[in-house]
Amino acid sequence: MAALDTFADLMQALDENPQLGEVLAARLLPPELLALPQQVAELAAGMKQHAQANKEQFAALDQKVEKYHQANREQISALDQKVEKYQQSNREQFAALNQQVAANTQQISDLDQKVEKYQQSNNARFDALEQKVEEHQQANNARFDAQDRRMDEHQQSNDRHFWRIEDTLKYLKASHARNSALRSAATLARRMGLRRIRNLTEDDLLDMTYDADTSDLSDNVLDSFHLADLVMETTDADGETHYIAVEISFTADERDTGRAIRNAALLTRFTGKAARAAVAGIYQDNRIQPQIDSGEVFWHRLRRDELEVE
Amino acid sequence: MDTTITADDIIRALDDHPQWLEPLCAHFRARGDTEMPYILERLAAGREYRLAARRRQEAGNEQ
Repeated sequence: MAALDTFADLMQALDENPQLGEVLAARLLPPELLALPQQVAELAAGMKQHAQANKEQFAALDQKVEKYHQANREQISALDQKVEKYQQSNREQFAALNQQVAANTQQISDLDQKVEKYQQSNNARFDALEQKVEEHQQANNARFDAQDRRMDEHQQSNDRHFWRIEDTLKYLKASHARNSALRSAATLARRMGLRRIRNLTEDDLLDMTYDADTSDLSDNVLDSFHLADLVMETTDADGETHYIAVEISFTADERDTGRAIRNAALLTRFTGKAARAAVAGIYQDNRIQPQIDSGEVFWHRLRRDELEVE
Repeated sequence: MDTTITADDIIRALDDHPQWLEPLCAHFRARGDTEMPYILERLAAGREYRLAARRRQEAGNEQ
C-alpha cells in the first residue's frame, strides 16, 4: 500500500492516474446502502419509542393483572371460607344423620327381633290351629260321609216310593181316562159321523175270533185285540155297520195309534165290515200328528173336567 | 515498497482526512472536471460505513 500522507500526495496521485476515476466510480456504494445507517438509526429510535410504549402498556397491564389477581385472591379466599363453612355444616349434618341412621338401624333390628318373635309365636298358634282344623275337618268329613250315606239311602228309598206311586198313578190315570172315554163314547162316534149302537165286550171280541183263522197272529196280538180299550159297533147315515177301535191313554202316543190301527184292521178281517181307528186322551204326543192329519187315526180329546172326581 | 497507487489508497486517504474532500473537489472543478468531484463526494458519503467495517475487522483481528 502506497502512503498518501499529505493533501498534495493525494491530489498528485489522482492527477497522475486519471484511470483511477473509473475504478473509484466502480467502488461507489449504492444510495440505498448509504441510506441504510440513517434508516437503521430511525428504526432504532422507533423501536425505542415502541419499547417505551410497550413498557408503559405492560406496566399498566401488570397493574390490571395485579388488581384482578388481588380481586381473585379475595374472591377465592371468600369462597374458601364459604366452602369451609359448608364443609363444617355438612360434617355436622352427616354426623347427625349417621347418629339417626344408627338409631334407626337399632330400632329396625329391635323390630326384626320382635317380628321374629311374634312370627314364631304365630307360627306355633297357626300350626296348632291347623291341626285343630284338620281334626275338625276329618270329624266333619266322617259325619258328612255318614249323612251322605243316610241321604243316599233315603233318596233311594224315596225313589222307590215315588216309582211305586208313579206306577200306580199311571194305572189310575189310564183307568180314569178310560172311564171318561167310555162315558163319552157316543160323543166320540158322533164326532166321527157315526151313531153308536153298543160297546163290544171282551166276550164279544173273543166270540169274533173263536172260529176265525188266527194262525198268523201271535198270542200277544190276539190278547191285545181281546183286551182293546174300547170297540164300538156303529152305523153310518145309510145304516151300514162300522166298527171303531179306540185306544185310550192319558197321553196318546204312537203305541196307542199303532194298536188302534191294527185292531181296526182285525175288526174288518173278522167281520167283513168297515172299521176305523181312534185314540182318546188328555194330551197327545206330537209324533202322532201326521197320522191324525192324514185321517188314518181319529183324535178325540178328553176334557179335563171329564176326569174330575165328583 | 510498492509505489503503485490503488483505489483503496485513495479511499483510505479520504477516510482518514475528510477535510481534504472540499479542496480536492475544488481542484478538479477548477479544471472543468465535474465527474471526479461527484465520485469523490459519493465516496465520502460511505466513509462512516467503511470506518465501521474497518473497526469490526480490527476488533476481529485483535481477538
